[in-house]
Amino acid sequence: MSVCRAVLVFTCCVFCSFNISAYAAPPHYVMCMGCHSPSYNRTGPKHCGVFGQLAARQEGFQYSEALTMSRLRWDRQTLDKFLESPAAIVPGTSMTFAGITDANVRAQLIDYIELLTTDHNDCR
Amino acid sequence: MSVQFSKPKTLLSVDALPTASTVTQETTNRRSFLRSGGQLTLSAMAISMLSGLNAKVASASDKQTMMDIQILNTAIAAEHEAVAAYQVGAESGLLSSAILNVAVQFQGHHKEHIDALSKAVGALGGEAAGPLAIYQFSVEKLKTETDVLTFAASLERGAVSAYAGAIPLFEQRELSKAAASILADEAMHWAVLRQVLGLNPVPGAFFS
Ligand code: HEC
Repeated sequence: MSVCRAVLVFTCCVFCSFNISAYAAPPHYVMCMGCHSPSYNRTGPKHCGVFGQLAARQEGFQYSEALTMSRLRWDRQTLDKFLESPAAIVPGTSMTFAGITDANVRAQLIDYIELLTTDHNDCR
Repeated sequence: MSVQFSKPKTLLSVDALPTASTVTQETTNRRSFLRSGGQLTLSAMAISMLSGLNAKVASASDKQTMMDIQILNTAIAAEHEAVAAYQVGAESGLLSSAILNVAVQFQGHHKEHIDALSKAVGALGGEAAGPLAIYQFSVEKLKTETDVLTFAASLERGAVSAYAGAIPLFEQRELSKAAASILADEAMHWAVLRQVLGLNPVPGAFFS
């Protein structure tokens, strides 16, 4: 049994793409993984290279008009507002997610997004 | 590095989809799954979901209705991804026949979700989101059955959060109710997949 588990853990580590434990992501990032991946566009755009950029700039992703026209630049403050209530700061956004009320959880997620420069391990 | 995976269109066209019930009853092997015909029937849930919609606001004219359509369409997009992902798993050749049966059944549920959600979008006067032409799954990382199941489990877990995040946003409570019933289905998929992976199937009391 323990050998079996060891094999499983090993396999999960090798299998980086979809297993949150293989990412440097905080556990709460699982809330985002229904729609996002750090490294590629899904239902939501990839998160690598978002920090410090204007909103809605990931190539190949079809953004809502609302986010495209928002002229937001993603820094800690704008991300904090967006993650608290996406529709409050960008009415009409297609990120139809109620938001995260716990400021501490938002901060952990923003720490991670800030780390995700294109040379980060999770972005390869 | 991720590879772009083009969905085999013939397999995913609505006409060619097996219903969840036909799939469970069949002694499905990979070939019969890939070839199976049959019509997609609208489940009782989908019908009750639609009948509960408020006809007065069933036009895409007001802001709240537009918002409900957008929420539904984001959910539909995620469901399409799940269908494509299970297709990758089913075609990988990595699944034993018993596991393949379960995967095909779960894929059937996701197809039913798409159908129900799309009908709701239509009833609100909107246009339902279709599948993407290409899904960028890292298929080269799927080397074992465990890889495929881990992949599927992560999508199901993500779907639970996505629905949990959508439920409070609907203007029409009937839609929240329908989304909650879909969330329950995704959560069951996740638990079953975890069980098969040898993990605690229900690792907590609350999930957001
Ligand atoms: C239900 C699906 C869904 C979930 C869950 C979700 N997102 Fe999103 N996200 C989207 C979509 C869709 C967009 C694009 C929004 C638009 O175009 O209006 C987006 C956009 C974003 C953006 C802006 C990116 C850019 O390129 O400008 C950030 C940042 C973001 N999401 C972070 C998160 C985080 C962090 C979480 C988890 C707490 C999360 N999202 C959960 C669907 C989702």
